[in-house]
Amino acid sequence: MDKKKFDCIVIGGGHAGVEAAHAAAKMGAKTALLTISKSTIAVMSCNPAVGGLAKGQIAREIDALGGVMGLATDAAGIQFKMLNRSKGPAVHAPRAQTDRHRYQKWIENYLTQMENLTIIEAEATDILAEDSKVVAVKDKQGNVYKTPTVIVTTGTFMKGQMYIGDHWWDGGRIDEQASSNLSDSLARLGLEVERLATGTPPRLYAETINYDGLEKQLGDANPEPFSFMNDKIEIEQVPCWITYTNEKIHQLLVDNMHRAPISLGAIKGTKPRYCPSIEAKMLAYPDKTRHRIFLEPEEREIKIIYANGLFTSVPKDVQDQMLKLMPGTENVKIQRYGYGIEYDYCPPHQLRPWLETRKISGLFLAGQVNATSGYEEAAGQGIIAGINAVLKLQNKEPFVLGRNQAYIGVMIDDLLTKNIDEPYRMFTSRAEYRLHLRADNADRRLTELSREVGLVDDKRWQRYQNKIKGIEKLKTTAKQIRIDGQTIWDQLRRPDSDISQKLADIDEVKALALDRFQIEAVAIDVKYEGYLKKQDRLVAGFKNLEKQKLPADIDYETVEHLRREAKQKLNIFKPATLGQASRVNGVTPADITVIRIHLKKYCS
Amino acid sequence: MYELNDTIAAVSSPAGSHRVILRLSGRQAIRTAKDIFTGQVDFQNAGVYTGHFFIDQQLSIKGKLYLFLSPASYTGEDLVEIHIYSNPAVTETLLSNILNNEVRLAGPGEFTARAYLNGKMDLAQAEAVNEIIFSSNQLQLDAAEKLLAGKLTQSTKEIKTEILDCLGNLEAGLDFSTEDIEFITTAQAVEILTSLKEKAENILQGSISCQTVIDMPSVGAAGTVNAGKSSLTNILLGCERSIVSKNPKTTRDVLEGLLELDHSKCVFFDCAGLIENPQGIIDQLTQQAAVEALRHAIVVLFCVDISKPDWNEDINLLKLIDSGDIIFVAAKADLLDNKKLCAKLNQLRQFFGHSFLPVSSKTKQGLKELLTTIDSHLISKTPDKYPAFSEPVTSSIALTARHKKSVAQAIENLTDAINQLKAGNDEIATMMLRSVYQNFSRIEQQDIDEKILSNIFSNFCIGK
Repeated sequence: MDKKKFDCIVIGGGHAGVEAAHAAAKMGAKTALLTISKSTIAVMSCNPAVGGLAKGQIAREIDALGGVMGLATDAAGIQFKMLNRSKGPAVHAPRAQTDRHRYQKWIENYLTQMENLTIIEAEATDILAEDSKVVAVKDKQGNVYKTPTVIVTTGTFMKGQMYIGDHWWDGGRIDEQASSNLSDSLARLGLEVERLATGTPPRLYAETINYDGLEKQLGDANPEPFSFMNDKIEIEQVPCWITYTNEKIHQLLVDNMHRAPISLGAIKGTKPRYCPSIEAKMLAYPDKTRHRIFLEPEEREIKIIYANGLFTSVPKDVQDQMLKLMPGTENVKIQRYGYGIEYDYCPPHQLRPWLETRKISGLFLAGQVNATSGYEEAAGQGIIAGINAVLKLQNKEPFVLGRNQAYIGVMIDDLLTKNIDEPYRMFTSRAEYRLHLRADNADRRLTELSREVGLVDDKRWQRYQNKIKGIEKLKTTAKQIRIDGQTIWDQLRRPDSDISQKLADIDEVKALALDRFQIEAVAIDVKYEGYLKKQDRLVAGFKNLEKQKLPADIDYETVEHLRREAKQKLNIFKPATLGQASRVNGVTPADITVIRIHLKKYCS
Repeated sequence: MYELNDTIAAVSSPAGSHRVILRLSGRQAIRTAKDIFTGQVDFQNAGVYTGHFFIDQQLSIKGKLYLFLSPASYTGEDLVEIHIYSNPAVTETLLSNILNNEVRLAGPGEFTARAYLNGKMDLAQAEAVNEIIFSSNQLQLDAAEKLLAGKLTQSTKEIKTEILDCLGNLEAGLDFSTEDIEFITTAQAVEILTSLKEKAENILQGSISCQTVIDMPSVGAAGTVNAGKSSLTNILLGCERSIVSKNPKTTRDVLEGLLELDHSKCVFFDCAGLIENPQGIIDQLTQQAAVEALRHAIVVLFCVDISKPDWNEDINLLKLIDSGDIIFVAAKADLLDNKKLCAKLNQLRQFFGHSFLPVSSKTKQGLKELLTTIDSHLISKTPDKYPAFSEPVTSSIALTARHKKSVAQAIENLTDAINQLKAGNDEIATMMLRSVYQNFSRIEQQDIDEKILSNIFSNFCIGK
């Protein structure tokens, strides 16, 4: 058998690449993962944590689809916390501080043991296509790997350039070389390539921090696992600490603003609004007297501390002085200075809803290369690209998640219809079906869908069936059993009732021998029941538009009566459905009506 | 659904009316007009042209051709209006003459649908047109026109802005809860939403139904051509109140609007078509219609141009007005200096035997006195309608049934949002606020439900 011939090649071993390679191999495709170094597979380049607001929901979705992220997080987590607990369950979001070394190692081992997956240490430099179809990938050494599908997940590595102050150097991550040829190759294939920028905070030696007087933040007493496959987390959790910037630091930053890259005007790429650098915060919030900084351990042994919130690329001497002025870090030793990074990405309007490029058949893009930010966003795209690469090989219908099915669906739909001019980060408010897209029901939303495409194995499927059966039993019981004259079901519906907490102690419920997740699922389902219906009504009509597919070859310039702006925007975004067209910036409801008329007239 | 690429035609004047308006819209509108019109027309320029229309090979009829060029027309396309005085048989012949391979009969509401699709009006306006067409009683017109003026849209826009603001802060609280920023407290949000709920309730309570409008007393402005009554009507009712002024060069005979005074309200209309010496059957009919309209008016403003050398024409016209309560108005007072004005007012008093109130639409001189006068006339005429004299009339907005439903739903959803906020369920409250936003948006164009659109346009009668 040809050692250099594969069904699918994944370029890049970051969080998107890992999920893509894992999904493709697990679905039976002969897969190769090309990475510059094995030891950087699944490295956490930025903060040593998985999940968080909206991101926790995505992490659960990846797990429900049969991905790796949740399992690795449970294995490497050192502090688990459910965020937004004071709010309703739809916005509860799991987050875990992870040991970045163990996380990396766990995934590297996991992938190494996988059937169908070959990990190759090589730098991909060229993607070869014939007749707009992918045929092979070439590496720096000149090796050619034949393949009908390629998934590019290069993160910040394409023409990556890092900077601290006015010092610039090439690289994809600190101490790692950038990949300079691949984006040229993509451009040669006809893809648009643009620049984006992002940043990191300084990393500090933990033993040089004075924790006295710092606020200590502990994990949840009863931590919830990320993966559906795990019942509980049994580890000793480590704390995080909280410190604050102060007016002296702010003055220092203001005084040195002229030395910050944001003022030097050298950065070409757009930086995210969502995790702004501390110097950018000085400009955005001049009135704030302090900003909160989380000191987060990067490993169980607490050797290195990640100063979350202190994203910066000011010169080293300013970073030194800044830390001297901050409570707890007065005498700190810096392991790595904060730096900024600028990199090439491909504006995602060039993609189809299953992440294949419109230009080149068999070429998929996933992760930061599509202008997203965050491990979870990247991994979510990775798994979708992996699944679809295999479905393409199998000549099957693509796997596309709707906005009403998953945050991953919301994200990809947004990427395809919105002007993305900064790294895209997920927020719960982006989801119109937020009450339905919850962390607690990710398995019930997605496991069956993923089982159909062959990514969910028998073990998970069996476990899932058991959970569902238990939930159904409890629902039946809840409708039958009355307490104080009212059924459990009706009491669960009342916002003022505290029955959900007592549910597990009711004898009839005990008799069902359910776990806490099953009980919780029923309580949340019933609480939201009425509002889910309202939500459906609110977004009704949406589904009809969603069903109406638009022909791929439609030239909007020829659609009469369409406004000029709509013509231009629609020709760029080439939406797949009328629903997507309606979400393209600058397209009005009247435009949609005009398109419908056009479709009826010419395309039926 | 609607075709958009061909040319449509329809009679757009009310059934049974002798004054007929035939409308054509689309690419072939001008060519079709050229084929049947004899007068001198510059087809490159919009305007009004007088001439003859061929009804068939033998017969032609005198009339006016109104030419509107794309995009400055009601529909946004090339649009032609044929104004003639004729009977149904003649009209039908002309229409069938016009219809051919390239011109077809317009479907219900199709002119307005085109206007909407071409971005000439928003949904609320389109619906207001719908109300106009549907009103069996002409007086409903003003309720609809009020909406065109955008008063409702204005109020809902303000509420929507505040909803968005509050929603943004609540969303930030959900999505950025790890930041040490308090975007909005529950108490603040509850307070804001409670006040918005009150505003929405005021819209509902302050709104008046079309039936109320029909029951309202009407006040008409009469006078010779160029007496200044149109400008006066416009300034009294506030600008931008009619389809006419929104879309230049679209014609209508009677301009009406709701006039809100300190103590009373009335329907105010500008009565055109009063002609001194009607010649021929057509002019006589027109005059009859005008006289009829004035007869229903409780008060008539009789307008004269004070700067004119004599008012012989005016005094003849006055004889036609069969109303006991006339307010005599000397318009265009700004054209004279103080001394001349006094002299002319004296002349007027001697000539007509009544005192005239000098007003100017330009300088707004005398307008306040005029409004007070109308108000007191109305109160003395219809005391039963205004039992509480001293109580000022609140500003009102005319709502269609659908608008009312939207506002009522918004109030219901706001109540739910407030309760959910109080229970700490911000994620549900935000969803309800989105519903509220949608409720208000339905009144305008945004987030428009396809069903509503079809309903509206298919309810139109042909020709608008």
